[in-house]
Amino acid sequence: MRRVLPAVKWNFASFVVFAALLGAQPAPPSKKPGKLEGVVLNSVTNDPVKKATVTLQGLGQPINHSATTDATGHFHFDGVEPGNYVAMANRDGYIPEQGGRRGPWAKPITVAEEQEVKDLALKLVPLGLVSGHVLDEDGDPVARAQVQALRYAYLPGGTKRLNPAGFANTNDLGEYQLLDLEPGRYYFLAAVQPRMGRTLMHLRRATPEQAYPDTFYPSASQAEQATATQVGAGVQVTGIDFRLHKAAAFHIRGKAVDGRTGQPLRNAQIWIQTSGRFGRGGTQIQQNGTFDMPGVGSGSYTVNCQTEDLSSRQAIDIADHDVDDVVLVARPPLEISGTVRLEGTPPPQEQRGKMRVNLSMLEMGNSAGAEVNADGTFTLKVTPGVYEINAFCDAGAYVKSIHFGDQDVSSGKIDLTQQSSGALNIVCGTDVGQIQGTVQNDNGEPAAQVMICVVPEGEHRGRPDLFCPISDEKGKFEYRDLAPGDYKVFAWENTDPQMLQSAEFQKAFESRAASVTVSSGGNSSVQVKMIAAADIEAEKNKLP
Amino acid sequence: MMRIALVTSMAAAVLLAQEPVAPRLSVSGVVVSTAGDPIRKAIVILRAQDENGISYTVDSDPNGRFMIDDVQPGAYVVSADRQGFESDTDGAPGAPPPSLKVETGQSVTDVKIKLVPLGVITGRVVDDDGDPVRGAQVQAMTYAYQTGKRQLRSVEQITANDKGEFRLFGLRPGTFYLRASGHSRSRGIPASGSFTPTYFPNTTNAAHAAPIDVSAGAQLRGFDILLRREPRYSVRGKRPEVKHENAQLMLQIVPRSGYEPGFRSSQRGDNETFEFMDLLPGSYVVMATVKEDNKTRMARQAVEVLSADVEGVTLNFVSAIEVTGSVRVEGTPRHPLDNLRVFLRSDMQMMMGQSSAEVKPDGSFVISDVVPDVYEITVGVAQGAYVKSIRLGDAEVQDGRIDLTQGSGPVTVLLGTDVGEVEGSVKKSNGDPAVRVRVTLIAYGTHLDRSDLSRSGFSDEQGKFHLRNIAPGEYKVFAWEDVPIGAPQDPEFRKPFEKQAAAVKIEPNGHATVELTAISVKAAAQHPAQ
Repeated sequence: MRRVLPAVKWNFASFVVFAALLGAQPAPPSKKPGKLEGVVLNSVTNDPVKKATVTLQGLGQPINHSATTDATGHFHFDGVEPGNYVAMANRDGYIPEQGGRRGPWAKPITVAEEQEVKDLALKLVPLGLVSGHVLDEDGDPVARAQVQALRYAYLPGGTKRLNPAGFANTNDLGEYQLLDLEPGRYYFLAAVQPRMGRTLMHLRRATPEQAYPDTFYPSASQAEQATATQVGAGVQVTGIDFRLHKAAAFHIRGKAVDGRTGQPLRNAQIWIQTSGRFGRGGTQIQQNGTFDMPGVGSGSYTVNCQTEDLSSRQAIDIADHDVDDVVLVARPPLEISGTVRLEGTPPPQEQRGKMRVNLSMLEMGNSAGAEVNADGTFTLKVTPGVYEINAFCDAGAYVKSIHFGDQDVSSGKIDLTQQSSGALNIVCGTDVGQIQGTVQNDNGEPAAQVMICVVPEGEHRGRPDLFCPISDEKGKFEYRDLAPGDYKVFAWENTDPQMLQSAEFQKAFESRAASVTVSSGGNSSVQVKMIAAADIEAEKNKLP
Repeated sequence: MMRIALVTSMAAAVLLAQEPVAPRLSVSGVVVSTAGDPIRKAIVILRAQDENGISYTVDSDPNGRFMIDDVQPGAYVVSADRQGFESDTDGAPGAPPPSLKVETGQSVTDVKIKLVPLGVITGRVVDDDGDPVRGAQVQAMTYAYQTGKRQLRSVEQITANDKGEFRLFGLRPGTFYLRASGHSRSRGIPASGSFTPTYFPNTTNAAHAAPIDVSAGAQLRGFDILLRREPRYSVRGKRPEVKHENAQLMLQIVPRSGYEPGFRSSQRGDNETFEFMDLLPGSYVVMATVKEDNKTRMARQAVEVLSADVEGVTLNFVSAIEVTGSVRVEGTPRHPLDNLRVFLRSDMQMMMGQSSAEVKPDGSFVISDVVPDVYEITVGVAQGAYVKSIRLGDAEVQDGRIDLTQGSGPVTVLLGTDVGEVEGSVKKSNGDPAVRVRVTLIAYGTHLDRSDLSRSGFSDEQGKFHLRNIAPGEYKVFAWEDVPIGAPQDPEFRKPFEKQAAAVKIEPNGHATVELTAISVKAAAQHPAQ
């Protein structure tokens, strides 16, 4: 197993660890089966949930049972092969439990031979609901407006971005309903696509062109001035009404050309992205490679152009007039090559896994990755942009330094916006240390299935390659292949892995983390107090 | 002398138009619904028919009135757009709106733009216990013709709210069928059963769905649909082996019929296996494409899902082939023949997408990643040319189909440019000119059913039409008052009307004239004896 994994892969990785811990023993055949029964409850009201699907997934054995709850929320499984299981419930309108998403926290259930497991209570967290109207300046309904629910996502390095978490469209009465929002703090955004006729050539209008700008609830053009709304589990929030006002709108016009030949691009997709958010409006490119994007309000945008093998991005500021003559020079991806070098004594060949280098673009969410060849070289193809580097050294090693040409990019960020060349050279250190420890809850008892986060201090702070193992059933954990240095160790009872990337979030709990120093070849011990789920929830709600 | 005089008078006209004291031309009128009510806040567009002319736009006022000042003389198309309405043009479906002439010295007043109010259907989606199906997907579907086939097509789709209530809006007057399915997000969750897509009122068979007639602005209520849970099954098998992590692997499952509205299946698996979930009993095809080391291999495997999961599906791969060829042009085209493309379509087209390639300036083309199969080959040609012949190796291709199961030879496409034209006029049964009716030219005789040779247009305000770029051969010409878009390409649809069509033969570079009587599809349906 790989020792260092990117934080974003946490879900899958920890589930594998978990399964390995609990379900390693293969089930010997022809054991007498047991039974299992229980009830599914709404975690907020404690009411039974009928018609929920309950699946019983074998740990370490490929067994899947499934049942549906009756009118009183009850389910039962007969003929259950002895072994360890995780039970998951699902029902429309509740947070899905599929695919091990909440697996690490679901208590494993052991069914022994002829045992009847009773009174199992599975709690489902009900989703929230938000409804309202989108009206124009006269109070008339706006049909087919799109309303988005947005939440902040926290990126490595302390930046954050609004990510869409739900969409709904208004009907002819201007009504919308956002179904199925997970509990959290949301911003709401209404967007109206411009209607027909705006891109006619030589169009003369009686009044200057106007459009409805993207509007944050209640009436802000920027998220910073918008009102966030807390949506609780199972809560119906009504009256999130938008009153849209037309504002001056402009065009972005230009052409896209093939950077290799200078010829106009015919089959390109062109779209704009508002800074700090995921993109919206696109336009069809004309035969001669030109485009005309209407109805764009004042603000900062990125114009993107993409064909099968070429791409281009360009930042555009719209002040108070149309922007014409944008030239998007689309180029093939940049080729970045480099080496990964192991310093010191490499681990024995049989312990060596595959080394990888991944680059992911922070703004766009696209990424590229490559395996490292046997001779330590690799080649990556990326479109220009600012990237986060995720390098995975071998077992027994950690990422010590990264250089792009003669520039130190060990912080994990690399700027490839310009046509760049230069080798990406990664050094893996083998002077690793390890930590081991125990987790205790507020009562001083060992806490099982807790997420442990080891966050580097000092020069490594902000490195995206932090890793969170989980404690075993007795509240113990171990983490190897750490770079020498100081660390903070957090023990989370339950949290969204993404939250851990938020510096604000980490800071709020810093006093409850344990400090530990890792030395080369050393084995440091640490005791950590578990941070309870309720405290985490309370802190989450304070974040913007 | 004459010539000079003419130039002078034209210059004078130009000067006059630019002179500020010259009388300004305006276009004014009102936007109304077909019921006669004024429509405010409509975007009115006066679109120049001349490519380089200036177009104008203005919004209608609270009384539905509009006025556009300083309009240059010329021909325009006037239209209006307002949410909840659609334009109502006389003439056959698809016909362009009437043209408006603005002449020097004469403002145009009292333009009346009519819009049809769109309809609404509301209802509720419930399960067999009468509980609401939260977030159910509801589609309004209508029959439409596509490549000569009549198919049920979704025109509007909406998500039901938490009470299972839906409100489908924006429906043009016409006949609709409703189809409901479960919550889109419940897909992929291991379930003992999920909702079977159901047509209103209570059938899973599209042919038995009840038609709902929506008239202009109708608000129809109470269309409740009951969804039943039915067991779903999985199809599993061994994942194809790839050599590198960077290899591209595409796996999908599709219904054997190729087309099933709203069909979806979720997929999961790991490095060794794949699983398609949520499948109703039926016939399917599993398809896989692997691209690595610049090579593509593909596999297709038919699968029957009866009343259990299907295990151990094996995929037998064949290497994709490359189809090379050239396009030769006979004669001199009237328009430059750039942007030529060659397309290959198989019966599996719905699933694999179509393969195509651009024809290079030297006439050559290469279509890569083609699965050995029988294909229909077509060439997207510019106006003024037509496909005269296609050869695969030395053999002439019949019916436009090429068999690539034994590999491919060079494909030679010959384009002809000796196109002809046909013109004429259309009259209604009472002898009046038939205005803006659809005129369709269909190949008969040796080129029977060559859909690429078909041409279509509309009659003008005087009932005259002119179709160009016609390959030499025998044709029938139909004029339609009210034909659904795409229907004339369906031989079955056409058959009862053939005797009302005019036969015409186009010689190379020839010109033919025909007089037509417009066919009323609606009248024929009401009086089948005629």
